[in-house]
Amino acid sequence: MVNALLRGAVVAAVGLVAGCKPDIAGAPSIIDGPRILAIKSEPAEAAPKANPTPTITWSTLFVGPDGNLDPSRLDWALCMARKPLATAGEIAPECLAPSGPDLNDLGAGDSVSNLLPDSGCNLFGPNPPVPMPGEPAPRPTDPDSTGGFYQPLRIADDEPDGYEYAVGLTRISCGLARVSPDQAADYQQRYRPNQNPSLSNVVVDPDQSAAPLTSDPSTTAVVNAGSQVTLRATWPDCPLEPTCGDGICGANEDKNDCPADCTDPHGCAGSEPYVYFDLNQRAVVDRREGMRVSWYSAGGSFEHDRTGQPEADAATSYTDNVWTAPNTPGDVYLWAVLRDDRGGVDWGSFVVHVE
Amino acid sequence: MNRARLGLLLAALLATPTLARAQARTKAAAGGQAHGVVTKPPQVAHFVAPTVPDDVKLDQTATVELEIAIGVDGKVSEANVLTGSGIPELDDAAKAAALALEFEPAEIDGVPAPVRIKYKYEIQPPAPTQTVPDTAAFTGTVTDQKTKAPLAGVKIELDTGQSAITDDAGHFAIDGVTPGTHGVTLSGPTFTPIGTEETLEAGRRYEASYEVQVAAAAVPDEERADFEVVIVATKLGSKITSTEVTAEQGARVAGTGGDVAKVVENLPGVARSTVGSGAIVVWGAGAQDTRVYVDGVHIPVLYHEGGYRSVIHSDLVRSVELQPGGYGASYGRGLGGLITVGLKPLEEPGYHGSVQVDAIDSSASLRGSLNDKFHFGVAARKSYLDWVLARVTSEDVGDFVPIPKYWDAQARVSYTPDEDTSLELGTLFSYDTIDHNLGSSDPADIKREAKMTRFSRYYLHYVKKQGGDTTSIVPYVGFDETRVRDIFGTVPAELDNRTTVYGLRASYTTNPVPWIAFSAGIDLEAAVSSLTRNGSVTTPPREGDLHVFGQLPQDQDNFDNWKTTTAGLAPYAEADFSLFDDKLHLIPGLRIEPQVVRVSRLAPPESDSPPVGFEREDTEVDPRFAVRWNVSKRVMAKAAVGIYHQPPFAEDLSSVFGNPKLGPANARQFLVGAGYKLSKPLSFEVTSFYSNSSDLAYRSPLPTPLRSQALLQGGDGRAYGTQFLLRHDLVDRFFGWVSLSIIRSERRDGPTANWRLFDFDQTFVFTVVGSYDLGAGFDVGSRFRYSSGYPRTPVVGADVDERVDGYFPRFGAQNSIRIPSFYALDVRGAKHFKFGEQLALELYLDVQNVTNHKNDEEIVYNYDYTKRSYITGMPILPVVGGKLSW
Repeated sequence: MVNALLRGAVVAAVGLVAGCKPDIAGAPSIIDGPRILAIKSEPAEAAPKANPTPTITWSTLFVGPDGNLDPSRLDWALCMARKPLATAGEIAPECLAPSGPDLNDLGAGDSVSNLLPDSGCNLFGPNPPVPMPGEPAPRPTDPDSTGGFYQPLRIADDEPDGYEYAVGLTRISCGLARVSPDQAADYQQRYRPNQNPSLSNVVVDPDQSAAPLTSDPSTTAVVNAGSQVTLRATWPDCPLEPTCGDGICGANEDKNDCPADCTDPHGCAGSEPYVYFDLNQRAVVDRREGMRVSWYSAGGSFEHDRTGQPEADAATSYTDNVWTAPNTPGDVYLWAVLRDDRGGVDWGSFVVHVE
Repeated sequence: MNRARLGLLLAALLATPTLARAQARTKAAAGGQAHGVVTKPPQVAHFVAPTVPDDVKLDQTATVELEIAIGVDGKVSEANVLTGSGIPELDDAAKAAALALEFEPAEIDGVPAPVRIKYKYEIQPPAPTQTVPDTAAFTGTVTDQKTKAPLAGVKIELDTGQSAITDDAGHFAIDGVTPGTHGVTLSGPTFTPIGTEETLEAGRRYEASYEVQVAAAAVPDEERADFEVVIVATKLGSKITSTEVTAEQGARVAGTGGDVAKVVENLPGVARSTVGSGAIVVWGAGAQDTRVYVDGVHIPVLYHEGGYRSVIHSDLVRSVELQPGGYGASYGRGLGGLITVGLKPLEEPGYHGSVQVDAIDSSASLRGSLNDKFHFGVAARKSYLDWVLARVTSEDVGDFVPIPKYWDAQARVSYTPDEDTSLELGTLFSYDTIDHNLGSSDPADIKREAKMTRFSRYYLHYVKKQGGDTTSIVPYVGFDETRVRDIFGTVPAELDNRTTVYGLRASYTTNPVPWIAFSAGIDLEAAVSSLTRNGSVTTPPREGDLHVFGQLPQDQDNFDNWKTTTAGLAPYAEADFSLFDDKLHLIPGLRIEPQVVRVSRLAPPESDSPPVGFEREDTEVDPRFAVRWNVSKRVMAKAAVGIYHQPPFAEDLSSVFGNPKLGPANARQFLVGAGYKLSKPLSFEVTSFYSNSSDLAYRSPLPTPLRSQALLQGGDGRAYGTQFLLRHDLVDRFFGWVSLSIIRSERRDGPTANWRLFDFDQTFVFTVVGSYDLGAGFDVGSRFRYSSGYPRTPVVGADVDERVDGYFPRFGAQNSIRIPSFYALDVRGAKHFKFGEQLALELYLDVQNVTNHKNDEEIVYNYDYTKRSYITGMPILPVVGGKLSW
């Protein structure tokens, strides 16, 4: 009795601290209407002022409860305006419009291509425009937590009840600003542009049958109605130490040390090592990408909307989630979107046969 | 020689210092504050009866009422006839006799002080000659000074050991008293024992008349004063609008958990803080704009993290006072209110202390006197809610909700070499930590919030009184530290702020002429800070930022380390001109503060180049003026105007996250009000105010702000409103108040921006507080609170950010909706047990939100901002505790 009273008092006291958070229904993993799930830039990272100016191809995963949707109604545009410091999100509000002077139209469809604007590092990077005479210098854009800068773009989806927007970001290589020449050179020598990750596969029941999911109902895995199954998304392993000849131009390799890997350099399609300028230590340090998988389905439910491996566990190249199949037999669409910390993305569209 | 009998009018000063202040006029005491708690009433040490002139033929009782001034030496320096007998010669005789009286001096705040009291002689005609017996008869009546009702059950005891108890008519009679001068003690359940002397002559019947102000029985003896005392030293009445609550009352307010300083949240002009916040928003000013002082020592916070408890043990607190605005020239550096915590004098005999235990924390205190000159007080408190939770719950609750851990400690040693001099050495410590981890399967959704705040203060408090003058010097040094280690996924939000604080408050108060009180002093404060910050500019959001609870932080990262020095030396002077027989007080004041702000880094860290610093000097001139007009004994009118300046916060002087060139912000405050004393304990006060602030720091709205200008200076603020206070002082076992504040507070982020509601604007705050002593050791109390909800900015849509796979909101008009209104009823009951003369035990039950009303505390949205709901506050919260004191 005393313990019960104490527990009651304590629970109440916790309520004082925390209050009670409502359980607002809904989960992002449930696809119950048209949704843009991902935007991919290919290549994942480029230097705006490279010679020649890089061409970027952007593509999107546009889905609905009945599978992938026709993306022809999607309107693409690059945003050429910088957002104020305290504005939420990653894009200037004026770019979230069907048209406008700050939008650089890219066309429509499931993918578009364009030259990467060469002003990216000035507008969205560490090299702000040269100030007017007598004026103080503008503030450079702050990097993200991986040290990256991004060219924003938006997709406008002309829905019956108005436009809905999705924002994509293309990582741009701008180097370092306001560092010592040695630090800049060190960074330049060791930094490798990000490469989009690759979702190797998604399997059901990885520890037993390991049946892979496919987009073909006749070959995909079969799951019992109402059952709970473990799904595992896998991506390639990335070497922690550079090995010449592995096809990956690592952070500490260059054309001189390893021409085989670095003449036409490629990164790793998993959790890539990369170098980062630590503003606190003011030194170039080694880091590794964390990986996340966003799970979506048009039926059933996931235990978690997203799973992944943080940077500290980047050596693990898979992540698991539990999916509860719907009680009604049939084919259920399912998607997995793999993202790395530096803005790289890949996805897979699957069907699960529920019987 | 005619024989005289006398009655002594005994009218008690209420134990509540508020009334004491209302009645008393005292010089600025230690730390430049004016206090007036009578800790010891004057006692007649040598009685002198009036000598009735032989040519005066007295055929009936004559009464002469005088006002006498008693000095610190106990001698009567002045006697004025207030109500004469109609016989000038007799009045002169009474005056002469009064001038020859000698008293044990009164003590104010434990220190001997000059006072004025009303004194009445009742001179009776000589009895007809008859056989003179060898004893005297001592009779009389005891009545309630306020109601004039007779008091039954009062014990009248002579130093001979003879005694009597008053009957229902308040009458008593003691026969057979040995002639001579005898000490007389009146004691009863509703007032502090009163001592006086009466001279009895053989064969005479002495008819005495005592009027006693009844005080609540629960008031400790040491806090009572039962003479109506008007303190001689003219108080510097610069507190035009203030609400002061004694420790005893504050501890009995429901919902405070017995914590005296928690009562501030219930005072007029103070917005209700959200659950777990503890922020004190006064008259629409930011929480950081309100300054907190403990006996003249500035401290950074009044409450521990989460607002559970104050940082000062209640046993050391004499009173807590809030001046929401319009305060005098002796204080500055804040645009908001002023909270002053007065510490309890240590000079009391014996050893006293307490041990208090409840489900959240425990505390203990000990006060004592080493000898006549050295006294000490120590107190400490430590929370253990986390420890309790770990033992009564199966889950690690601390991983899901932030459980604050805290402790505080205070130590004081005072030295009083003589009655006019005191020296106190004191220390204050406070320490808070919060460590909150929220794991997630999503690496980007892993959250950790870790915060540590602590401060310490070491001070000396020297007070010297010479005649009617007082010198007070309070030097102090302290250390403040804040360490934040938050991380949201891969986005850090880190802040370190280590500050060394130096302060000196010195004042000299005098009365050059009786109708002028004058005070001059200096107020020095210097803060040397070393800071580092890492993370997004907008995390955490500051006032004015558009954001919603739970919003994804900006994935932007920057870093800065910088040092700041902020120093100001403010000489000030203020005077109180008491005109027209004390009816009109004109209180001008002037504060001039040369101020230096030095920042180590004018531009963000760059390459290996050494930082270039920046220094600015400003001289702020802050005139203050107040007027108080005692229209009648019951009606008072008041007005005040003043200019206030506040130096920039060290956190805002970053070249990356703020602006190193920020200067002081300023405010102009205007207030007008009136008070009406409905009866002895009941008073009503209304105050209207307007505060206009400018040069506030605000977030740069530019898409491309200039370097080192993430914050700009030039924001404006305005707040206006009216507060009402109906207060019943502690009389007849009851105290309480009803307060209503109607306030609107707005901000403008830059000269071209539109006015918007302040993030912490609360239109209505209505509070009812009451506590009643049921007798037999029981007291009950209740508190009802109603307040408007804080404004919030509605979310009108959301767009998806595909890089982080999250939605970010689109906002509507800033602060155009509100969280629903809040109301809650709290009750408190306590039972006091006495064990012998010293030991006492209090068991209490404090139930907050007794109706279990679900108050909405914050707006939350679902993942794509298509659904809105509310976080509700605490459910019914019973807190059981006990306090053993001696």
